[in-house]
Amino acid sequence: MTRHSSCVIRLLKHTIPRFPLRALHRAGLLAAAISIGVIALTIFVVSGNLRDQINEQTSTKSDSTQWTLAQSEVDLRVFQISVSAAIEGTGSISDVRRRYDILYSRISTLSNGRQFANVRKDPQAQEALNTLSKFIAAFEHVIDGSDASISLALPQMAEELVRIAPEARRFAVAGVRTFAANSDQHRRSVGSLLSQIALLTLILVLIFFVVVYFLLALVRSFAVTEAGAAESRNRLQEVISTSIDGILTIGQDGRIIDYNGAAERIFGFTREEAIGAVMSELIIPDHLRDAHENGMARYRETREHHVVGKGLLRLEAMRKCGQVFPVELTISAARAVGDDVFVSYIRDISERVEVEQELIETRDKAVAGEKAKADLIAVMSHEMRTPLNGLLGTMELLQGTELDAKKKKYLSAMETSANLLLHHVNGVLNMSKADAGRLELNKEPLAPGAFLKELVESQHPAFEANGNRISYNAKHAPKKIWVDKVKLLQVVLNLVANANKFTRNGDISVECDQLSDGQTVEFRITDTGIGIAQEDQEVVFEDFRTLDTSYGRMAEGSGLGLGISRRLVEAMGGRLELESELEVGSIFLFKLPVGMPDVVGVETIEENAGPADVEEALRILLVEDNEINRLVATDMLANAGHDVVVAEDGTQGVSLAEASAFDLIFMDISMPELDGVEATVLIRNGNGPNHDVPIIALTAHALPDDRKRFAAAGISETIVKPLSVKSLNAAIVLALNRTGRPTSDGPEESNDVLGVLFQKVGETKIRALVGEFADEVESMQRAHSDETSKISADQVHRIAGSASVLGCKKLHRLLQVLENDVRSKKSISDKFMAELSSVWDDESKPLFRR
Amino acid sequence: MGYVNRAVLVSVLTCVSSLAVATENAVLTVSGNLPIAQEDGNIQFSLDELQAMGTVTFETTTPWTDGVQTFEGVPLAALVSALQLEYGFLEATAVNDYSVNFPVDEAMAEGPVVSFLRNGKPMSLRDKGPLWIVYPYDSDADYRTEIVYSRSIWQLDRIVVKE
Repeated sequence: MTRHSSCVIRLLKHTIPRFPLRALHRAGLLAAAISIGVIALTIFVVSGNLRDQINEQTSTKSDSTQWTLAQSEVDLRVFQISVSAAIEGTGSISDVRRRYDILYSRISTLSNGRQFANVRKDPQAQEALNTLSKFIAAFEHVIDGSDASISLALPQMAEELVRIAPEARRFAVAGVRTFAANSDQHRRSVGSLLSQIALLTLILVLIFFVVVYFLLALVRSFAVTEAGAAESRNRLQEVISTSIDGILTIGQDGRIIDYNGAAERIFGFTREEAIGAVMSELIIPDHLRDAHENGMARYRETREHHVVGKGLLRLEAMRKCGQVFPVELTISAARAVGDDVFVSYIRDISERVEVEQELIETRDKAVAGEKAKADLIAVMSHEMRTPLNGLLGTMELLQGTELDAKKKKYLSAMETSANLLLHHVNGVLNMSKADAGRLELNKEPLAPGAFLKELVESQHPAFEANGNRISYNAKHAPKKIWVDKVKLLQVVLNLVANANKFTRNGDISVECDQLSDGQTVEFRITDTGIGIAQEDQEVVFEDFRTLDTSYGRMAEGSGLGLGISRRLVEAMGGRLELESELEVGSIFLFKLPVGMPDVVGVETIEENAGPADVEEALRILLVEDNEINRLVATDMLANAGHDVVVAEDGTQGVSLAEASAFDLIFMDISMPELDGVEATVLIRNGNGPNHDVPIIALTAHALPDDRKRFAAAGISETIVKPLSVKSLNAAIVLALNRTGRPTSDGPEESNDVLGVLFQKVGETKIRALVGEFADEVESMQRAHSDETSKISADQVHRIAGSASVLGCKKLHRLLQVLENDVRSKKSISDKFMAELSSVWDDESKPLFRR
Repeated sequence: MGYVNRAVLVSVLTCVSSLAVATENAVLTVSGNLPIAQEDGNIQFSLDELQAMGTVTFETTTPWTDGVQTFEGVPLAALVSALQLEYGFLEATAVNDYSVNFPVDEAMAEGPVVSFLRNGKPMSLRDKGPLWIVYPYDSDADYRTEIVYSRSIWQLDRIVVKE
């Protein structure tokens, strides 16, 4: 464990904060060291003095000195004896000479020797020495002379020697006295020096004690710090060794310094293999290695790093077996033992990435499945509604013919079935629309009382069949609310029908109350039926869900009713709720905002769009490719007294429109080749007699986007199929009451626009713009005629923008239609493109003339 | 070293034996337990013979003189080597009968010099001559001890080698 993290530990050591205490201690120790040094030096100096003192004592009070001092008297006596012997004839003259020389040497030593300097300061000693020196000097020439003269002088010498003999003793005594005095002084001075040394030593010892005390304190505090550091180190070691992430420490040379257990597991290299190896060669895949080496080289040169400290990176790494796998890693730079190192935490995320990938795939599949389902439902509904519309329209026409009672009964049965079928299909379509978020609200004023009254009355027969009583209560309802009446009706009818379905011989009531906030209205549908078990209360709102009840499956239950109701309520801004108890009954309730009058006019003409009649007979062009629809619409219009000209597709419609004038044009939207929108544009942009007559679109579905497209193309009104006499009439009234075309413009305006542009932007720029514009149009035309390439919607959008700016309004309109077609991947008819070309030729002329 | 000493000794002995009459000029008489057997048991050295052993010159003060003195003489070690002494001690005695002992190994040490010139002049008996064992007292504190002072024998004229 320690091996694995040694480097990190070193790192840690470097980052442990230094204690201020340590600095204090250091200063204290320094002071102590200086004090000790000074005192030791002083002791050295003092003991040096002491040594000198003792040395001096040695030289001045040595035994040899004492001996010399004493020997001077001996030498004198020996000389005296040799003189006496010579006088008596027992001694020799040469002996006298020798003894004189010895005495001479001795007196000379006393006179000149450094060791006797202090003795000589004594007056008595000085006097004695003078006497002795005088004696020596007095007889020097005699001794240096002949033996005879010495013999003659011997008696005088003996006499003088008797006189001076005590002087030698006097000098010796004075010497002893002086040395004694010196010794005393010396002793005192040595004693004083010893005292000084003792004192200094005492101080030194005290300082040592203080230093030891401080050191102990320091050791204790370090021990505490170290214990804390060790604890955190241990924790860190624990973290590192048990880390799930691989932890790598890399030196500046790119070699691995440290490598933990998780890294061994992740990469497959053992610690021994990894340490010291070049990291890039070991674990970086080939395709990333160069980038890594470059990064390291750049770092070494410039000290800039792009990945260090940049948070979580996602890269790829390589295992020992060569497998490349995704990793997440962070890299940080640190200083360890004076060198910059990189510490990298690496996490193997291959499993996570796999799971993510699976999730993404699953989600994509689910989304695709959802979309396919939605598309299927939408297409199916549309495809089913078209023939149904045909059936219903034909049956309506059949009603108007002479039929016997039996046939009328059959026809009625057919109509009931067809209507039910249409109801189901619409239900599915509504649901898919709601899921796609495309449910539109057409808010209109509604009186709840009247609404419920009408509804309840219309349902009486069905309720009586089950022995149920139905009542309504709108006493506390507001006078008027603004809701989508059709959807509200759909929801309430569905809930009431449900109540009837699951109730026998019971009471069903429909209520509407205004809530205390004044903004909300609550609808309640209460029954005394079988009720719904608690565990089923959630699922009843799910799609295609039918509960197995004691009454058995109801024939007409598609299982979509409550699901659709829930969606509709939510679309209207409410929430459908349920309270129920088994065998007691159920309450379905929902709250809706009272709402405000919708300022936007209702453009869609529905069956309920108010009664209207057209008095005059009109000449109408009907462009419709579906034979049944064409038949139905033609008959309905003819029955109303209008003169109907039929076109079987867009192309025919356009040519008919160019040929003669009509009061009104019905235009089916979805047609092969030239569709209704394109045909409308051609008619509007053409110079035919019908370029400004109302054009009413016939469509099975009218989404908001579609309506914008229709409006842009110049369509006046839209009728959502199925067709009925009522809706046709209403549309005719509305269309005729309008000015005809939603916008009016003329080619003459474009010149003005261009003129303004020239003034404002400048000729050069406009010319460039026009040139570019022309190129774009040309390239678009080429793209259409070329088999291999396709017109891109963005390109068309761009050109449309230019056309708008340059005042080419017709072209702009065509391009908008084209853009929509391209976006919805519709095939573009040659005729449409031909029209576009001719419009382009027309409108571009003034641009180039300038 | 041994060969050198032997060579020196041979030359010295040659001198001694051939110059039997030179005893008048002898300044130092060595007697006692000598490894080199002599008929009368003595070896006498003249100043010239001592000088031939190689001299050293140094300056120092002494407790017994005034001011810095220049001494020239033969290192005692050279003399001991010439005598081929390996153990025992030297009993050095002065004319004034002062006497001091040198163990052979200490006599072989650096320091003691048998001086015969002081300030460039031969020393008379009055001037602590003719031989004075002097140490370079100023050069080392070790030479300023009681024992060294006591061994600084002047008026040296004879050495007896003892076991």
